[in-house]
Amino acid sequence: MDTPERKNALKTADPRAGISESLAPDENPRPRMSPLIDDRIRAGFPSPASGDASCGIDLNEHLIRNPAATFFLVVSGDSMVGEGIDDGDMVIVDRSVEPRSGSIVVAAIEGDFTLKRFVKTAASFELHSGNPEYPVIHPKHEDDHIVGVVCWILRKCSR
Amino acid sequence: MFALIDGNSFFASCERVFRPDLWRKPVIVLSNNDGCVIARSEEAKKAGIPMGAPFFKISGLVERHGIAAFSCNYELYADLSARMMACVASLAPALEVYSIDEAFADFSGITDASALGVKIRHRVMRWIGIPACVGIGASKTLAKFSNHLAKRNPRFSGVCNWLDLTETERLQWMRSTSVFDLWGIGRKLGEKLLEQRIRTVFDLYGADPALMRRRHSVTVERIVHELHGIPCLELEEISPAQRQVLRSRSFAEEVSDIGEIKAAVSRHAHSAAAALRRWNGLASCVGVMIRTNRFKAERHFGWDVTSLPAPSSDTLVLSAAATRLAGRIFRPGMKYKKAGVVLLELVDANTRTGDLFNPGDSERSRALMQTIDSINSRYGGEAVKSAAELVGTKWHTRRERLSPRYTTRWDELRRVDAGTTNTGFKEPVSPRRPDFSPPRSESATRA
Ligand SMILES: [Mg+2]
Repeated sequence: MDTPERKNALKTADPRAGISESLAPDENPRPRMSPLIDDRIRAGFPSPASGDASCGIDLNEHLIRNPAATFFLVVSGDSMVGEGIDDGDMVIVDRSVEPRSGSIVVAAIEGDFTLKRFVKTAASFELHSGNPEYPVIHPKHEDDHIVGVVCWILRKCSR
Repeated sequence: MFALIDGNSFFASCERVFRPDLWRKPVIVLSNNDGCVIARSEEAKKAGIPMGAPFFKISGLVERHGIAAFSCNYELYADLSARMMACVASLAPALEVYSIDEAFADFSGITDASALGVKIRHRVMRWIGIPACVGIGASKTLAKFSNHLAKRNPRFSGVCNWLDLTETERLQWMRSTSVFDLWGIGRKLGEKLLEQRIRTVFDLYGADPALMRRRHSVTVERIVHELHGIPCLELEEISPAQRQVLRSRSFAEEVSDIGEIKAAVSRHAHSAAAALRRWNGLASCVGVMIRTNRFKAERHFGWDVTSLPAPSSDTLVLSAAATRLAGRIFRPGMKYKKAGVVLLELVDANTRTGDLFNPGDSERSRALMQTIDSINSRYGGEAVKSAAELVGTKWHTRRERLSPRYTTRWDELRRVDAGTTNTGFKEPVSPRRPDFSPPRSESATRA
């Protein structure tokens, strides 16, 4: 990944420095959710994939623009079905993305996380559900804020 | 010019990232085995919780003030720390990761240092959800001192630039701060300075550097120079956090017995721990890899990493963690050719002494390790070995108040409620485990 964040996150010495023996894995290493953790692990056990060798398409690279600010959460409830997000879906949330009107966001409202559609207003913002039966939320508490923007929704299709 | 970026009450702040219900509420984090307090939020300090207090002694206070107490979730803290450092690195030209929650940045050539400090602070809050303070000064010592001021005085709004203060203000801050609060002044040295009537930062600032060198050490002389804005310490970009100790070896014959694998892993942990202590380091994470012959049809490469409750160089702790990992990644029926242990996320044991937020190895274990090392160096090789393989299986720590590892485990992800709002806080981990685990990873690591 070529964002400046990524480059800096990897601003380490050669991960293989100090290791005399190669411990090449025969299988792909276990996929990790946190790209940062993944890099640290690679720093420990060098994998040929982390060098020059091309490793094909990388889902982390595709789904995560800014690893430092990206978090995974699991959705409960069905108020966002109208927006295509179902109970049990996983969402990839980037905290560094500025929400725009229409963005699906994770917001902290009255001490809990909630998943809603962000709508900008003249003074502040509102949160809408994908289901008209749920009321529009107007943030009142001083700590209410947008945590991050949902960039991807993951759903398993086959069991 | 240097900046020091430091996460506020870091462990307590980490516990709050996924718990907005705990903002502005008192939060404490407990040491290994839920023994004593190692981190306190501002509110917990105000409630009168002393640092290092044994948990059983403050349970009344905890109850009365509704304080949220957590077991040390080192895995969560380490991940959020790595994110915080990456976030700071996206704005700072060069960075030295100094500890789990502190980094020095090179600010030389930056025209508006205060503005950059504010930007870093905001970005860390925005991206990671961790509040941080920034101190800026002509030397590392002044950057650290300014950070100390920023943290304790709301008037700085989290960013204190020594270069922006007037001479009167500087003298005032130096006069009102104890010399013990200065970076590099430990308890012993501080007491020696007290004997010479050097009580405040200002007293040391006014001391003769040459005299300080004669009476104490070059280090103290250096601190005096640094207080005058003459930088003596440089940015160390290759920090101990990026070094590692690795031990691995091929077996003489292929091994398919878990007992033998564990014994080998324990031996490697033993030797790696000794090397770590020679270097005077502590490891925060332990990794283990085992692999079969690469050229056979039935192949397995198993590896996993775990973080320790607190950084350690204790052979027993490291080897117990390593053998436990080996048991987890081992697949019965496979013939293994090689095993290895790696110690990661190393920190300097020296810079951690007097570091209250994580007591780590006890004095007793440190003394034991020194004894083992001296016997082994006298009689060669590994005259003294631990019964680590046996300990390994029984080893467990008490962590009853452990929060989920929200960022590093598939089955501990935070839930976000879409359905209803204003229903109050729900347990972040649902009893129904979401099925997102990639099936291949399961089979690759757990037999
Ligand atoms: Mg701190």
